[in-house]
Amino acid sequence: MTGRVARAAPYALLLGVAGVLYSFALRIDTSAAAGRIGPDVWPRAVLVLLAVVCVYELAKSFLAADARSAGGMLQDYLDASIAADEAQSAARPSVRRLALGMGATLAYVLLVDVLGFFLATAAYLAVFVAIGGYRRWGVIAACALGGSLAMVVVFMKIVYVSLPLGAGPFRALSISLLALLGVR
Amino acid sequence: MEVLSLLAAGFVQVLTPVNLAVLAIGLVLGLVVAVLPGLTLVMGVVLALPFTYAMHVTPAIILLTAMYVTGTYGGAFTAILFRVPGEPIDVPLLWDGYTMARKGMPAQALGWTLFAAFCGGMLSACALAGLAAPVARVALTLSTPEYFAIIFFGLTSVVSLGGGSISNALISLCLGLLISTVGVDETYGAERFAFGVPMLTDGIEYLLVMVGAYGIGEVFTRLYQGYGAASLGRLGGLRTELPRLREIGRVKAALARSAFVGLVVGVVPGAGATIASFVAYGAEGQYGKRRKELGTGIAEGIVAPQTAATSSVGGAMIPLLTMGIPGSGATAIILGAFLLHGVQPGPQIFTNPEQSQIAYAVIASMFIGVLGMCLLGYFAIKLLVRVLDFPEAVISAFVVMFCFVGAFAARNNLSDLYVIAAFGVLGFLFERWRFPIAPLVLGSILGPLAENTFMTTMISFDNDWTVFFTRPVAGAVMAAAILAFVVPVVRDLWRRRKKTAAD
Repeated sequence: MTGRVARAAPYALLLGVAGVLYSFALRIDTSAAAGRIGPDVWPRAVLVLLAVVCVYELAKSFLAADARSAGGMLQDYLDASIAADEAQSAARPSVRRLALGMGATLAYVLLVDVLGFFLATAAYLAVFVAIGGYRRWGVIAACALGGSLAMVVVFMKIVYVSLPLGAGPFRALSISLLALLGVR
Repeated sequence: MEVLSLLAAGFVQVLTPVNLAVLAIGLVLGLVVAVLPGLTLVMGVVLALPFTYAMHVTPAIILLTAMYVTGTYGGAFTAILFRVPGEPIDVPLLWDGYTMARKGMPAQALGWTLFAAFCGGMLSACALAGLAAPVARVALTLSTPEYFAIIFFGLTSVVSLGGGSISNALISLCLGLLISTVGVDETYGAERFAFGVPMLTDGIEYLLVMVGAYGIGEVFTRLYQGYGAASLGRLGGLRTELPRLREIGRVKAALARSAFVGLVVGVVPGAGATIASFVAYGAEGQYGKRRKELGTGIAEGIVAPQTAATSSVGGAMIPLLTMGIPGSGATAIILGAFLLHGVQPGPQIFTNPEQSQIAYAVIASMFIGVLGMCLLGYFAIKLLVRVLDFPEAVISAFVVMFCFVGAFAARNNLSDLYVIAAFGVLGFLFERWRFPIAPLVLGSILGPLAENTFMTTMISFDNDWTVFFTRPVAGAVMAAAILAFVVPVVRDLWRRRKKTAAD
């Protein structure tokens, strides 16, 4: 039973999302359509299709003896290659590593505007590589600082992308660095 | 004759120092990306996008196209030599390519791959050069019902041609289509699913969905699984041995069949190099002379998937250049690069002398690119394979950075980083729950086109939906689309019945 609940969970979640979005779709302003097909029709049709597929999969999860879904044209080949991959793979999945990686990524997105591109990127590169399990600290430092500096030069000096400079003292630091690199 | 003179002018453009240098960089980067497991060719093209912002349109498209072409070939080295497919495209190469290498013939296996990539690439470039202008002329005569039917065919193809559950692919497609409806609708200007958030009112760019779901999502998946260390050992005797003419004569049927399959699959929106590679291998298993020996390390098992994969590139470029419809992730990025440079691909570019020069320069770059790719593959294989020694954690960290910079630079908007991070998490969850990502991405790319053509048709034809079935071209394409969707379902039902009867 637990297996069936676990299998059904994503579909139940998506069905809920479809329901909520459908209620929002009913509130789309259709006054400009004036008797013609309105801007709500397309999203509502898509939501109905989404809900129907979710209901079908939910019903199958709990009622059918074989909950396997019909596969696409390449199903047989995919099954064979997945089996081969799994037999070969020596990887060890880790939720902790994933959570740390996602946390670091979110922190980067939040802090890049404050720390500026150079500092935030150097810190992120170092932290992410360490989370990934690589432990040669000299290489990590070189990759983080060298990589960040190279990206600043390439994107700001050659490609002319206006990357975030940061705020307060970090902004001053970024500007000094750019002056040093000859980026105007 | 006109095509030949335009193509000649295209060659002249490509042979300028800047374009040639950009092409060479694209070839090397494409091969490196393809060799590295975890970096797919679509990701490679995504990562190269920010570098094209400061370029002119022609070198920008040449760079991305070169990466696209080489992305179908580079992964073959590691698949054959180390049983590490650099791309999903290369999985069929494990069955015969790796087996041939294990029989003590790695140089021959690499030779067959190079030969297949060369023939597939050249044939598809010829087809692209020959078909682009006529298809564009036909496209000019099509109306919105036909355009909608073609897009609908692409959407059903991506659902039915995939490897996973059709229900999951449909859900993924619906989510992609819904993402494309966020923001202000183009027909009436009504706000949809923006919830008063300014960031959402502008809509969600498909590039963000792609970069997040493909790039960041893949990095999260690899991080969760753990990075393995590929040990290459000694590569002293590594070389490529080209097949002899006599041997080539024996595989000419497989070559022709696979090049055709690749081209056709490439043209179908929603299908790409991976599907072409699997379908060609499957076709070889059904119709090949030596079908019973497939999987034992025969040349046909290498030639079929590799020829089809490289040949699909030219096919995929046809709907992009002639109709502005991107049929795959890579062509969607190329479309994005075109639009960023103010050029709208479609039939009009073949009627505009200035823009047709761009199109033919891109086509000419495919010829030179395929040749360059094979030369690099032949002479620089040891160096390319050494890329595998690079720590994957470092590569992943840089992939995230390039994704962020690419997404940020397109609109200079920091809030886009939140969007791609969110799609990164979604991409990871999709991978965990076995929901395919391709329909999500294609839904977000083709969604606006599908909705616009559907709405325009409905308004023009007084809400008469039968028009999609009563007009000859639209009706035929819609029938093909429905068939593409129904066949796998019927096939599954038939198998179940057979199994139940056997039990």
